[in-house]
Amino acid sequence: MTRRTMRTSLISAASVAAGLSLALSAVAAQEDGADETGMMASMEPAAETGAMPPGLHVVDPWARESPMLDLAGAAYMIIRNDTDADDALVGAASPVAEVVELHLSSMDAEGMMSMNQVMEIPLPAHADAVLEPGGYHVMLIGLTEPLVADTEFELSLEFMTAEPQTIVLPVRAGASMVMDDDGMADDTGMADDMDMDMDEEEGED
Amino acid sequence: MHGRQRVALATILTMGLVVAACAGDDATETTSTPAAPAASPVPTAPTSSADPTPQPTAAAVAAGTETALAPVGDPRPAPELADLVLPDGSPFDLADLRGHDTLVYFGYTHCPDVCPMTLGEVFGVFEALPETQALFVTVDPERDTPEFLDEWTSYMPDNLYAVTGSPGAIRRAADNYGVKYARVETTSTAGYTMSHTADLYLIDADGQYLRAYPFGTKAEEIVTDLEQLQAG
Repeated sequence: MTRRTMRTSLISAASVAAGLSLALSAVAAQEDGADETGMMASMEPAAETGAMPPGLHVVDPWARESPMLDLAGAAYMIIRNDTDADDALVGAASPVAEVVELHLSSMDAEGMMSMNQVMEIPLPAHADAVLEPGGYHVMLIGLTEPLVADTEFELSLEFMTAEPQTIVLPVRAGASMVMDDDGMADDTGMADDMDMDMDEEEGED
Repeated sequence: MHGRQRVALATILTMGLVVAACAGDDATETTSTPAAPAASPVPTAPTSSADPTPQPTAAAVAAGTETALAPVGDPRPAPELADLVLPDGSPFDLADLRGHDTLVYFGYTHCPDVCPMTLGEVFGVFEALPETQALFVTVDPERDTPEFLDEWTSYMPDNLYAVTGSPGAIRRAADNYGVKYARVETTSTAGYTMSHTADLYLIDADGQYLRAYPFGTKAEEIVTDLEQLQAG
């Protein structure tokens, strides 16, 4: 089951990300979409023209609220590699953490959840690497400030081949976020785009 | 409300759709979730988790989890959680939680990924059914001292209780619920981690153990189940 589930997950995530990308392009094509394009600081600058050049594109990055400096934070995102070459996320750094590591949560044969540091997160060509709760994630260790919901911070990403990128991540409350009535959805038009994509994706599935 | 809905949708963008996509072809398969608490204590030796072979990500496992909750059997008194202490150092008595449904979770606070993922679902239950309680039993007493849990719970909803205790008391409590855990040394700057099973256990208002919710069970599924049980 697990192997098929994983593959299905990847396919599903890929289609979601593809839909997102289309939505982002559509937004970018609107001249008055200044706020929305601001959200896409992580995207290639050429996104403003409505066409995305091949590269690594970070979609929907976020970090979980982490109020205690003694506890590590976690950041998630989708990294879309639409180039012809495999790449890998090999490191990250942020002003909000003394150390940033790459980690993977997994379930062992006995049903125990484990979390292990990894040296790289694979970014296969023409695929989406999904960093999500319970899977690959970026761990922020030695926080220099609490991660507070509705704030943002910078995270620089280092790749094996591609040029480094610095992205801005919103901090969101809780894992399922159903507690948070006035969370990130108000930040930008991003969530609206996701709504659209949700409907489309459900229809297609 | 709309804002909340959008936030939730944004979340399930990464999780929910995966579930939907998987629901069809996994429906006939059993989930690889841990067994429900054993009727009799089952000592479980901690095992090494340093297995280098690739494992399914917890997210993938969660995505494959089905809602197929087994029927609730005959309720029985909740397994003991003895010799544990609250953050203020006072002895914990499971009987004090009677009066409301309680979700019991074994985890540790220095768990930045899996535990917050499950606690987020618990918070979702709190929102729909505010009288529900949760009990967080640490499996990491070395770092989760009463003092540390005191600060940690100050950031948590009031109806989430946390308890710690001696390594022996925690092992006995975990065994009573069929929970497995083990300390794992890591290369990470963050220090050791704890591998642990991550189910939620339901104790009803009368102190009866009813069932386990496998890791990955969504808040909505738990809410529906609790409502049915309460109407029951």
